[in-house]
Amino acid sequence: MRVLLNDEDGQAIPVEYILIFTISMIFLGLMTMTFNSVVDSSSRQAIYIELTDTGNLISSAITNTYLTTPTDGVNSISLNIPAEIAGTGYFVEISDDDPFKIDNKVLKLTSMRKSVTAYVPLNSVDALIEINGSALSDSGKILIISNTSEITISQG
Amino acid sequence: MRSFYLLRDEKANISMDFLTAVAVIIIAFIFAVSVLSSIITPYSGYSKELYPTADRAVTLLVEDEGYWECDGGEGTDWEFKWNYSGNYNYSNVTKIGLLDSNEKNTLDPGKINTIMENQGSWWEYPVSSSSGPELDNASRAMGLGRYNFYIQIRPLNESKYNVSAANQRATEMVGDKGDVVSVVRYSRMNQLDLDDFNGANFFDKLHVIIHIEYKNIRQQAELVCNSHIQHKNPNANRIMCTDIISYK
Repeated sequence: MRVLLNDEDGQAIPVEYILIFTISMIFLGLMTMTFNSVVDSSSRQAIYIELTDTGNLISSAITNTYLTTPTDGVNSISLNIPAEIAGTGYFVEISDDDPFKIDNKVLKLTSMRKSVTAYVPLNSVDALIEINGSALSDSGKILIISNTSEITISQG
Repeated sequence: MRSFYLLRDEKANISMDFLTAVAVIIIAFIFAVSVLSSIITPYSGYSKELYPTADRAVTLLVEDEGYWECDGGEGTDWEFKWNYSGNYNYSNVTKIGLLDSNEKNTLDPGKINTIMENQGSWWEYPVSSSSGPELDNASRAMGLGRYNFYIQIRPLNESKYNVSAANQRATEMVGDKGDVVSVVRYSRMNQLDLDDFNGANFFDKLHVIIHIEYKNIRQQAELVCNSHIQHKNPNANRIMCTDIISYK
């Protein structure tokens, strides 16, 4: 044991370089992977929050549209929304795919990249009036048209 | 002599500068990750989601009549379907709204009394006697399906009711954890006021509070949000105040 600890003969400089290089590469790889994971998680979180905010903006506009629809005629609202969130477009749709299993429609916003999805409740407005439609964020506008029987969202 | 030996001896050496560099990088990396986490954490809550949801909920509650629908028909007098002479048809009520069908910008005391429990001069919902199916249907019909909630209606005139008792009850039901956001809304209710009775119906002063919270725990995070919506009724000398308080 004493020999193993104190024997300083027989060292090979190339082996030492190779060892240090290998360890460095492994360390760098782990660090890069961890950092990418943190950045990706943060990016997804930011996209989700922004999608939720935009969804609430649209959902509130739908509620207001319903409450201000005239008894005869059509109510039309052009709503400004972000064309891109975190550098990517997104898709807005009225969906039956309620993750909370409440049997109500929800507003579903899906980011084109990273596949982040946010579900925003419509607060049971769909129980009062038919709501349909979908839109891409490309134009930065969403058109909400309502009459006494239906609310439709489309690209503005 | 010994230190000279340590510094100059290159036999079986390990690069001290390499170790130093690695240590510095590790410290910098840990610092960067911890700072990033602390930057992101404040945005991991959902208060921004709760507030507009509560705002829409109270808007629909005070500005819509509600709706029921079944094979036998449909209508806005959902109070007769919810609980009428012991017949409970919760599932037929698709939307709960407190607006009076016959009176503009006025809440209907019949609808309020149908779903809420009168505590003298203020109302609350749910109460301990509220059944599970009733509560599930109420949250669905108020558009608060993914939240737990608690509602109070109080006179706006504080001399008309026991403020501390109502506050205490709200605190018990909502709790005091997390962030709280409030939204207040004023309205009015048409009901008989015996104190000022002169043979006519009066627009009485009331105060409504709704507490909602998430049912799902997406990130095991605690988040409290009170929504308190206000709007003044210019046509009434007596007004009703509606608060929605949401929390998680």
